[in-house]
Amino acid sequence: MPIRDLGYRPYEGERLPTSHNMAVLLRHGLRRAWGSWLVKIAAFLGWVPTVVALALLGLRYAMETRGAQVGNLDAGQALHTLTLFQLWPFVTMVTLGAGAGVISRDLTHRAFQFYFSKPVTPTQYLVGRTSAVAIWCFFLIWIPSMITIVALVGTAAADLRLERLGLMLPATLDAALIAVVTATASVGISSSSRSRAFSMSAWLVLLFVPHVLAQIVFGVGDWPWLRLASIPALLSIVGEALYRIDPDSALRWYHALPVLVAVTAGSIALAMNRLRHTQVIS
Amino acid sequence: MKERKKEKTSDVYVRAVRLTKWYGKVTALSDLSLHLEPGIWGLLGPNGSGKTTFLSLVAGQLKPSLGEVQVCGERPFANPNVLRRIGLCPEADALYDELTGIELVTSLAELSGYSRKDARDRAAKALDEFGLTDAMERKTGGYSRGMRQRVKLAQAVVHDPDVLLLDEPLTGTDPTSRAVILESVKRRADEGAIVLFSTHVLPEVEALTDRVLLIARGNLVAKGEVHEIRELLEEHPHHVRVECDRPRELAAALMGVAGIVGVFFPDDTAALLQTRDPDSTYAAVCKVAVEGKFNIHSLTSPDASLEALFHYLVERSAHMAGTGSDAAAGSGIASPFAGATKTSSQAKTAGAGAKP
Repeated sequence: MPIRDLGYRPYEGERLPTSHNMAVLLRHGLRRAWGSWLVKIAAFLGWVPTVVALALLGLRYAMETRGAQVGNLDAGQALHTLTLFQLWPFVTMVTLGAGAGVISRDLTHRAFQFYFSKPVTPTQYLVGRTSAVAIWCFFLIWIPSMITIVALVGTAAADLRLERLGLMLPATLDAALIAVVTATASVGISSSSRSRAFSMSAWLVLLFVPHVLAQIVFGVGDWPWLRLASIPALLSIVGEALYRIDPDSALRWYHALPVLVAVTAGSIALAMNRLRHTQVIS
Repeated sequence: MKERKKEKTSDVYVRAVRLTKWYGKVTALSDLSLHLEPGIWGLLGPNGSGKTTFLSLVAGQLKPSLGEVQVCGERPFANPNVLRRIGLCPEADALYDELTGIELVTSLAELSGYSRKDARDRAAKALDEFGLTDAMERKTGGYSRGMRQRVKLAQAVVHDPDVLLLDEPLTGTDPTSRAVILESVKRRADEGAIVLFSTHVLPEVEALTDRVLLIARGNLVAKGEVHEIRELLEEHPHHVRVECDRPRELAAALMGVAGIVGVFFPDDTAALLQTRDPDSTYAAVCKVAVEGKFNIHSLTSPDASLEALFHYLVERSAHMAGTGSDAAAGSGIASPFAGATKTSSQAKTAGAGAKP
C-alpha cells in the first residue's frame, strides 16, 4: 500500500532548534542508565544509609524525650557523613554503570553512525550524555540529604530548627558539585578508549588508588597533600567547608576546588577532543 | 506533489570535487569528482572498493582527506543544517537492543527536530511503511536481521530527507520486504530526493534505475546511464545474440558487414556476434533475415546488462592497476563518463591501451 494511502504527508511544519537534541539525549541517557544493573542496585540500596540515619535520629529523639543525656548533635557533620556514605558505594556504582562506559559503549555499538548522521553536535551529545549521569548522582545524594534535614529539623529544639533548615543550601551545593565532577570525570574517562572494560577499570583505578595511597601517606606521615590527587578526598574537603566542619589537615577548600575545576575541565576537553575528531568508520 | 518536487529539487544535489579519503596508508577513495542530481543512483563496486567510505563522506560522518564534498550547497561534516536533510541507513547492524522499534525511531526522529508527539507519529508511519507495525512495540534485540534492516531504513526516512543514503539496504531482507523497500525508494526519488544506494544485488539496481556509479579500488570507474556507458566502451566489442533456425548460415551472410569482428556459436540454435557497431549489426541482421528468409526467434544483447558492465569495468580497472596504469584507471577512464559530455573520441582516448 503506498504510504500516501496511509495518510503520510511530507512535514511542512517548523522543526525545533538543535538545542532540543540535548533534552532528547538526556532523556535517552536516563533510560539507558536505568538499564544498568549497577544503577538499579544503587537506586534500591541507596536508601539504606538514610534509613539507618533516620533510625538513629529517632532513637536519639526518643532518648531525649525521656530525659537521657545524649549530648549535642552536629547536624552538618551528620549530613557530611551521610553524603560520604552515599558517595563511596552508590555514586561510584552509578558513575561506573552509566558514566565510565557510556562513550566507549556508543563507539563499540557503532551508535555514532546514527547520532552523527542526525543534526547532533559533539557538544550536544556530550552535554546530553553527561547530564543524564549527573542527574542520577545528584538525586542519589540530594534526596537522602533533604529527607535527613527534614528529620533533623523535626527532632530539633525550636531554636535550632531554622539553623538546621539552612543546611538545605550547602547540601544542595554539595550534591551538585559531587554530581558534576563525578559525572564529567567518568564520562571523560569513557571517551579514552573504545573498550568499555578498559574505561570502567580506569575509572575505578582513578577513584580508589590515589585515595588509598593518600590516606596511607596521611595516616603514616601526616602529609595531607597527596589527597589532592584523590577526587573523593577533594570532594570531601569542599563538602566539609560547605557544612562548616573543622578540617583535619592543612588542606582547605581553596586548595581542593581548583583541582576539581581542573579535573572537570580536563575531562570535558578530553571527551570533546575525542568527539570532535571522531569519524564514523563502519 | 509537483510543486513539492520542484521546490525540493531546486537545491538538492551532491557534488564531490577531487574527493579523497585515506586511512593511514590505505587510500579508500581517490580523486573522485561528480555531481548528482535528484533521482535514484545505484552505487556499485566490489568489496573494499570505497562505496561505504563515499557514502560516509556524503553523510558527513567522515572528513575528506583532500578535496571536498557538498550536499545541498554545504559541507556535511558536523553541519546540522545539512544533516537535517540527509537520511542514512548504515550497513552495520547496530541498534540499541534494549529499546523497542518505535522508541528507537522516535528518539532519532526527535534528534531531527520534531517534537515528541510528531516524532512518534512519524516513527509509527515510517515503521508501518516498512511492515513493522506489529513489531514496533517489541525490543529490537529480538528482531530478525531483516527486521533490523527495516528499522534502520525507517530511521533513515523518518524525517523525510532530501538525500537518502542507503548502504546495502537489501541485506537480509526477504523478497516481500525487498519489494516494499524498493517501492519506498522509488517514491522518494519521485518526490525529488536523491537516493544513492549501494548494493551487490545487481538485478535489483537494474530494476530500480539505470543510473549507476561504479567505484573500483577507490576510483570512480563510471557514472551515468548503463547504455550510455556501454556505448562509450567502444574498444570492447558488443555482443549480439541471434537465435534462429540456421545460425551458421546467418553468420556467413553477415561476415561482410562492417563492425562485426567475430562470431561464436554457443549452441546449435544461436549465433553470438562480436561487433564494434551494434546499430549497423542490428540493421544488417534484420536485412539478412528478410533476404535469406531466416526464421529468427530472438535478438538480444547479453552484455548490455548491468551485471556484464559491472564485471567488465571492474576487470578493466584491475587490469589497469596491475599494469601500472593507475592514473589511467583513476581519472582517464572515469572522467569521460563522470563528466557531462560524452564523446567517442574521449572514450577512445581514455580507453587507449586497455584490454577488454
